[in-house]
Amino acid sequence: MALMTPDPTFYPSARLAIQAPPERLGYVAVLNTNGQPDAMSVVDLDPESPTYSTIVNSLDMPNVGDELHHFGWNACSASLCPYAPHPHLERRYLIVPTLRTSRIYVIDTKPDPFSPQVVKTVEADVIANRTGYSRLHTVHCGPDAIYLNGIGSAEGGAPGGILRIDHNTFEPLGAWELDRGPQTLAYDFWWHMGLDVAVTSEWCTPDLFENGPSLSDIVAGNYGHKIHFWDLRRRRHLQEVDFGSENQMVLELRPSHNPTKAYGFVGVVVNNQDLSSSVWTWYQDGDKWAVTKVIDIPAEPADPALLPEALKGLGAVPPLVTDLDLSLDDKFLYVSCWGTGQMRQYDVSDPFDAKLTGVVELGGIVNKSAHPKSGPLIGAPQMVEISRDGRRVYATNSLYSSWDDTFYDNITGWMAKFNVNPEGGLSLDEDFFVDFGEGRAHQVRLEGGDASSDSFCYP
Amino acid sequence: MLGALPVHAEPAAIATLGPLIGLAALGAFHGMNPAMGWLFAVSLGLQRENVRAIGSAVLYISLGHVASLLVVAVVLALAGYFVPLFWVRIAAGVFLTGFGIYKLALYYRHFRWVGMNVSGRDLIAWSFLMATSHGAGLMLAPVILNLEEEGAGAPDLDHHAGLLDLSDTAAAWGIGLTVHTLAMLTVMLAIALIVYRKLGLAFLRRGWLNVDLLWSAALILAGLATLTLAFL
Repeated sequence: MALMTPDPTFYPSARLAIQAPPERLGYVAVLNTNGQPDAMSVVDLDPESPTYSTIVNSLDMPNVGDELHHFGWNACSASLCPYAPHPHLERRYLIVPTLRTSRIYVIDTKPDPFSPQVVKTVEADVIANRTGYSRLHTVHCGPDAIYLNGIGSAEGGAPGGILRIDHNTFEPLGAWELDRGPQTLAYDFWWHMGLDVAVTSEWCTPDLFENGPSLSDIVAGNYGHKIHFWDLRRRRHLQEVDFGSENQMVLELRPSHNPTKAYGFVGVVVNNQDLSSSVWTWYQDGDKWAVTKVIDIPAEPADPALLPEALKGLGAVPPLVTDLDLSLDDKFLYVSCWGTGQMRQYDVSDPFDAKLTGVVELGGIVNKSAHPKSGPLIGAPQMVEISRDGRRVYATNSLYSSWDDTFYDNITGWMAKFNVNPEGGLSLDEDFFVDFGEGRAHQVRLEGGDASSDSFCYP
Repeated sequence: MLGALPVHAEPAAIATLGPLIGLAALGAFHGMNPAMGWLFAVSLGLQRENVRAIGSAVLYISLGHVASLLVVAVVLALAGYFVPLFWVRIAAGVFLTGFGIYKLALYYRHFRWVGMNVSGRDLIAWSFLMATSHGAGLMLAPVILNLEEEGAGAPDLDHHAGLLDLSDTAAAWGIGLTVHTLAMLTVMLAIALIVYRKLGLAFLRRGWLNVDLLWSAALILAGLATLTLAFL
């Protein structure tokens, strides 16, 4: 268990992590709505391998109806942080929370990374009793513990918030917040390690997402439209920033990987006035935090006959930006448009001047753009993950079971890959396509780490 | 020893070289442990893009470290004042050995006392807590007790039924801790500067040996040494 030198997948800085070897495999959370348990699938990502671009193994969860969603590692480069160093931990266990049933599965990826096993389950009542949270969502390995968040309170309402689990026993340690200020809604969280500042975002209370999106609540502005800044050391709320209630669902948080920089990107799913999506940069303005819109993606007019029931009256397809990912060099931001069916690449070297450098059309509510290895595709790029060297981008197509069904009839799971031109631009990898059949593919984690799995304490 | 002259000699003369070398060596050992501070100093230098940040961080960290050692030394000296040294050694030895075994099993536990945005006071507090929780001061117990015994002078000890004379021991461990801390500060600063200027961050990936395991072993060894000395 104890290593004599640091886990080779830990890098002091994002700059060094870019030199990591290419991933040979990825873990993909697969949701089943057909009465079968969800699964953690192992996908072969090594182009030299005979089983490249196929599911080489699939680990069924011990229960049915969990709704696997996001997940993360037990330990990562944050273990090298100087004030709480424990570099001889192993990146070995996948911490897999369940969004609907509020469990945590701990999956061991050793000794055989192609054959992971569930080694521990923390049940929802234990988590609720110790932390007061449910509907577990984001996972980040911290310097002192593993951090997770729950979108709902133990009773299934608000507030949602952050909890920690011990990085050895995986037992919940309690709610993280000492003073939550005005924050009630939760979705994503991450941090600026160099500034000791955490950021959290807002989706909604569980009743507004578990049964599918409520259009009347979107129109009424009842979904989350704020982000919150926290003192990471003192576990206190510092400031909220309101995007205005027309900006509904402020979701994925992507702070710069360089811990000395004080900016990050966050996506807004839909503007309830014009159906557009947007990406905003948050930044430090004096001793306050501020946001400014840097990317605006308009809705596309569409024939109502081609639209699902929920959108017929609108006569347009919203882009539905549901995920973002920032390359480890803080240069390219990838934006998935789950409604219109696009994977976009922006050069954000200047975080206040995002330049569109690439677009690949795939799937989409109206377009259903095909992959060379498939017919017309149902669903569209949703969860995005970037290799550490920034050369490969992977996307899966499922959002959340009841939301999938609102926007796409008969959705089936798939995973695609995009190749990146380091100078700017991306192209669809025509040789890579994974069909998950009835299983709905959600978050991807790459072997050894990726662009949203690790936090760095050194520039 | 009956009729021996009182050996209330000058502290410099009575602090024998052996324990001082031991304390200096332990200082170097503490200095090389990344968890004791050189790594923090490097990271602050990098974050602030200023090599001077390393120097000031090492100074603050040394202050916190020596404060932690001082607490242990005072506790040991007071214990030796009230309880025969034999029993102080037995208690310290058993505790140290047990603590070493505990650290061996749970060496990876670290608390998040501070963050990356730290003031000098934060660094002192961090270093004090790290040194205390890692048993840095306790590790010095066999040498410190020896030094205190030497300081009091063996004949004097006999005279006082195995109890320490505080006025003499204070001077002895004052010198001892100074030597220890200077050795630690030097090693810490040297490693921090070499990593910052020459080796670079990538060194951490290869060169960061599991000092925690070595540290636990040192605690156990110190415990056993203290126990052994009790019976000599």
